[in-house]
Amino acid sequence: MAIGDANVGFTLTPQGRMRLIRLLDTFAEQLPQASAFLTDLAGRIVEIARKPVGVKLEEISALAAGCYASTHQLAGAFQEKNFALAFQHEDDRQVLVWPVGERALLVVLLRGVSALEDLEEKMEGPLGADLAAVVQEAREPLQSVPPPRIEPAEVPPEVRALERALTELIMDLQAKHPTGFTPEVSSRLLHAREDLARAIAGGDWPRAGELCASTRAWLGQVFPG
Amino acid sequence: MAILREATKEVICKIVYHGAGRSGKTTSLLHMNHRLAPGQRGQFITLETPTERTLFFDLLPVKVLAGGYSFRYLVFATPGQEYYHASRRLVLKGADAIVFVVDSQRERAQDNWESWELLEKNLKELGQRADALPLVIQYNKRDLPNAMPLEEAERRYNVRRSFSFPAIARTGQGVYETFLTAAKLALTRLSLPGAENAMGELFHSLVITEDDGDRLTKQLAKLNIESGATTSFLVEESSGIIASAGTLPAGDQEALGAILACNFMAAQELAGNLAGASFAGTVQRGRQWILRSMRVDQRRFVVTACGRGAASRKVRDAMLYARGALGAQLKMVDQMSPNRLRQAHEVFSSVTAIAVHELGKA
Ligand SMILES: Nc1nc2c(ncn2[C@@H]2O[C@H](COP(=O)(O)OP(=O)(O)O)[C@@H](O)[C@H]2O)c(=O)[nH]1
Ligand SMILES: [Mg+2]
Repeated sequence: MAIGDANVGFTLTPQGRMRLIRLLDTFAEQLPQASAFLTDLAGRIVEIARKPVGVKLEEISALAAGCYASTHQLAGAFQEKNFALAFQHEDDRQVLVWPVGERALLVVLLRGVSALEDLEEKMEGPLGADLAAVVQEAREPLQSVPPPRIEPAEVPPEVRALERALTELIMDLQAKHPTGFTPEVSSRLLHAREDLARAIAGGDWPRAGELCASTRAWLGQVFPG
Repeated sequence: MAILREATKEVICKIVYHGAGRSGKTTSLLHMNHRLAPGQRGQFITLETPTERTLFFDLLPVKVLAGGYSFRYLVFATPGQEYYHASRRLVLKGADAIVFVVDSQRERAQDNWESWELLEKNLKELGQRADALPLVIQYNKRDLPNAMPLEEAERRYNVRRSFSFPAIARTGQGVYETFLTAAKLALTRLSLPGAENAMGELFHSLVITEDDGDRLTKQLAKLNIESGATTSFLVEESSGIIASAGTLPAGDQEALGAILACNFMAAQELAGNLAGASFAGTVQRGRQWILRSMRVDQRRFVVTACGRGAASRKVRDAMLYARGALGAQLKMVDQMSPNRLRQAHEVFSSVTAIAVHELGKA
């Protein structure tokens, strides 16, 4: 496989990979005109058996992962642990997506009716158990824990009120004097906002208060009345 | 495209955050989620990888009451990575306003520009003129030392002289102002006579009267009886549930509608990738439930939730039948909507300011 293991959510041993290939092949072999592949939950392909021709496999697997992520949410809304997913075509072509051990997705492309029931049976039998075991034994890649994404500034209520009043004033003026916001005025406003954003992000409340007041005063001059 | 429901006086709008990967879209939504009071927001959903890369979409439903109306904003963020490009276009479908998030760091200049080009390209593919959609720009990461000067950012990215805001999504500055402006522009567009003419077919707004609502619900109730389904939904691809009948699952209906919609669109897009195959629908199977979806028309589909005992053929036939009836009904709604919207303009012009004022209180 051209895709390095660093790209996928887990790392297989060479033996694990061999077992995976064999299992995927067994799946595909037992279903009509099928190909089967395993992806991580982000849609990166780990292995393929009986690669289909003329389809953009990466696009399909990226979409399958997105679709599965939303299916998983849907299952939650219906108080289910997981949903298996099938896309059906007018010409009885089907795409099936099945979660494997909460870490991977099995995607099967095939022709035939009622394939979801077939696959369900297989997944619940020894074949499914073997597949789950292979995924289970794979190592997690080294994961760096991302830092918390938001660190909201605890803005004192009086500063927040000043900020809010300024925003309302500006929106009001923009509605009343749309042509008054010339490039010069807009540019100065942009800078005033940036200074205010930086003051608040830095927790400099007195400066934030001053900036609100001076911006108001300036706007009062530009738009008298 | 917005939905106005006359019976319940609800207005639903879609706002999409678009921008280069890691520019701060998800962070902006997280901040809004933090800032809004629980009554003003629905369930925050983020579909991302363990390393915080958006896989499909983020969604924050925002709600506010104003002038007797209930305004609901579905705030989406797109995935930035090229790998998920097919999903990105789906999220843009039917947007009422776009927030373009720029990563101010100098070394991201090219990425921002490429993301802008992608936005224009994706909208075009969806049949929507980009300059007809309200746009707000958020110059994000203004706290970083390598942020390009604002003048340069304006020159590079503000090609349409849109409203623009400096922001620091990590701590939250400028995020809410940006959103408020986008929310206001989306509503203002609805109150401009003729603005709808510039919208592509997938972006047209819908006005659903009480009668329409009743008829659609009746059709769905009939579908439940004939198929043995517990619940059925009629869903619009960009704005969620239009009508439903039966026992609804607990939880946020806005979020549920958006998930159903995105799920269906991704399934269809995926199916389209298999050469020559035309998409019929999806089946989702759990321990107790089976969900089936089937397309009704270009923008809508119907979903049933049945217990595992229900006979698939019976459900399928009932859905096929309901699809025809629902499609005919929707066709009428589509035809009447532009006129109805024109009549609603006055309402919009008077409540927009109140709605924005109420939102501003967060
Ligand atoms: N310094 C700084 N970092 C930010 C800011 N906004 C977002 N980030 C960080 O940028 C990274 C990517 O943000 P994310 O919201 O995931 O980007 P997305 O791909 O656009 O959704 C995260 O680590 C954030 O913490 C900001 O205003 N300043
Ligand atoms: Mg993101």
